[in-house]
Amino acid sequence: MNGIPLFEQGEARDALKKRCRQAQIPISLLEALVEAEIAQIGKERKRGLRDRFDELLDPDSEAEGE
Amino acid sequence: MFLRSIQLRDWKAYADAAFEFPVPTKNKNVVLIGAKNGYGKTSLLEALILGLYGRDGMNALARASAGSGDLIKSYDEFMQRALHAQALPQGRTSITIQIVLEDALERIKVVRKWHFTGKGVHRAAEEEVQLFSGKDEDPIRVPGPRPSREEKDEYYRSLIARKFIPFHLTEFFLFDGERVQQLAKQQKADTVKMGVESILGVQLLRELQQDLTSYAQDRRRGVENIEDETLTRLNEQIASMEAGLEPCRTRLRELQDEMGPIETRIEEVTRTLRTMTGGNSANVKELMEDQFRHRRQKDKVEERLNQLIRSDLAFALAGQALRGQVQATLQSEIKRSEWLASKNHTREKLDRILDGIQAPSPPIQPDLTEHQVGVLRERLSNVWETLWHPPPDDCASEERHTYLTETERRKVIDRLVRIERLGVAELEQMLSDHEEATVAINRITQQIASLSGVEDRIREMTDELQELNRRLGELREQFGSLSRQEQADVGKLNDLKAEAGRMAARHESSLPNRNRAKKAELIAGLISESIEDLYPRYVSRLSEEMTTIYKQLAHKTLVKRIEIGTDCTVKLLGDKGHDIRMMDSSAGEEQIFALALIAAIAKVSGTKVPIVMDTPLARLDTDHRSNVLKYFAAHAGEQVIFLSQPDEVNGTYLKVIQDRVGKAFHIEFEELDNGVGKAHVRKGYFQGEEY
Repeated sequence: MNGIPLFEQGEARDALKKRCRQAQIPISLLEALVEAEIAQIGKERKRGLRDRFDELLDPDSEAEGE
Repeated sequence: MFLRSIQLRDWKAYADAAFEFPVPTKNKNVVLIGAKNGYGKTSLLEALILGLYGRDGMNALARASAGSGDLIKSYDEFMQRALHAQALPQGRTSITIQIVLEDALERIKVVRKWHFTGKGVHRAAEEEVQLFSGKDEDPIRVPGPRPSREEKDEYYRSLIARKFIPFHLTEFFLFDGERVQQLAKQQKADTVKMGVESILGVQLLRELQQDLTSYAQDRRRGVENIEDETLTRLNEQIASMEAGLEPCRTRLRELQDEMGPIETRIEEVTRTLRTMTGGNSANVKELMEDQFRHRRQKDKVEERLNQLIRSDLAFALAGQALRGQVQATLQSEIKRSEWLASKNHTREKLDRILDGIQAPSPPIQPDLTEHQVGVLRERLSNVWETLWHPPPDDCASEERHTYLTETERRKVIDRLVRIERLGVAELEQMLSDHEEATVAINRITQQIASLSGVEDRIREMTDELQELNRRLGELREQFGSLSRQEQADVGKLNDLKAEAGRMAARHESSLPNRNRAKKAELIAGLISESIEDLYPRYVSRLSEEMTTIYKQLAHKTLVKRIEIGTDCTVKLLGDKGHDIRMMDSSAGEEQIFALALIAAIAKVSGTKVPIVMDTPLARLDTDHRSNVLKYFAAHAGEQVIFLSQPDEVNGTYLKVIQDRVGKAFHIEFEELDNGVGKAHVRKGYFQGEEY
């Protein structure tokens, strides 16, 4: 996932998964948030990021449900 | 993925050039590109970075090619200077870079095109990028109906980062010798910290963390802060009020149950009386009511008389003369009290006057003797005393009622005045009213009795009816009072329910934003904790990898282990565990440390992409050059591209990697008019070696 070892490699991913489980946050939601942040790279202003956060953090969002 | 080809059109010195790279194998994974200084090695590295990432590549470019002054300029300026010198004169107004990436399963072609005006001004808005997939080069479509240019750019950028080099690691895979030197010059701790943060993508994660925190603050702002507890408290209050109403309602039901039979009985008695009086029950009833009214009137008068007897009658009976005398005495005592108060007040002033006799100014010649002063004081005191005599006429000569204060004297006078006002006429009127009521009651009783001629029976029934009416009156009064209380409480309860309803609605409507904010904060915290948690693990892994790589790169064998602390401080430990970094190290040795870090980061990141090194061996001595070439060619990546000067990778050094070279190029430079030139890509290395 865009080379963020935190989400990709075995040990790091396992540790992250554990934390997500404890916090009751789906790891897919975290991944989607990172994707949203990556999409802002190089932009002068982070236009649309908050709307994307709204979508992703909505209880009914797909990332949330996974 | 590895680099399969790169094609440049009007890019810097390259008017039209193409590099086709072989598929790397286990033993043949090196591509060697030779060029003299200024012939286009760095331009090729830049083309690769900007071709892949466009404007976003500028940051990576600035870091990857730290030595080039051009790179700190703006993107537009950089691009304008990148247009080949002969392009505009020959009518060409665009730059095109095509890069093909491949692996065993996939082939992706990236085509990026920049456009310019006839005067060479960059048309930033017209930059084009398109990705193609497979050997047939099918365009990769951006999902969604009619994606905007921005969405398209984002999608391709994300795809390239995913398939090829993660953006934050670019500088560790595509770099030049200057970058290595820059890393070498930094504090070791800073260099290592930067490396670990790059592996973890910490910068991006911290940005995400900050954005989530700021998002949470934003979402909480403007949302009514109605906590669940507030609403629960309000609902509990409502429940408590409803519970409190229940006894009242029960009592109201009991009263209704009690009043029902009484009303029925009243109807029965009235009906019986009607029968007994020959159907004239209406008169009996009216008489009964009239009698009841007179009784109440009589009761009221009696109550008033009783009150008078209890409070004022004794004073009234004492007689007006005695009351008047007491009033006058009290009044004169008040006067006396006021007269004495005034006298005492002036007494203090007299003392000041007497003291004035002995004042030094104005002087009296000769001075008064003590005897004279005493006589003067006595005379003045006597004169002052005469001012207060005789006392006023209406002033008492003595205080008889010494137990009363002035206020109490006035209260007694007021009371006596009030008794004076209680005239005989009023008393007579009350007695008269009482008499009238008594007479009326007796008269009505006789009238009722006379109506039927069955006096005893009717009296009994009348008495019963009276009792029933009295009881019903009491019950109705209780019922009315309780009803009013209940209505007031229900009103308050309804207000509270309405408030709870409004609050619940506001709470409900603000819930999604509050939940989002809560979740964003939770995730921001989770990111922070994860970084803290994973940081030491990666530091440890990086430490191990660096030790292994450093030992292969460095010709000295003094360093047995590289130890990196969780704060990224670095120790190069010798065989006895002492830190040999305390000793001076050469620029070359510092560079070896930086290269070991780069290689370790590439390895720990687990990313399988090519390494492109532009003039990597500057400042390195013979042994180090051999070690670096040997290591990077064999271990650093599945494909390694060296961009070398003629005196860099040659002779002995060339022999070190010769067996691994799959293909070699060299760049020739054709000088044109006006100081411009054109780069030509030729197969084979400087000495004409074919690979």
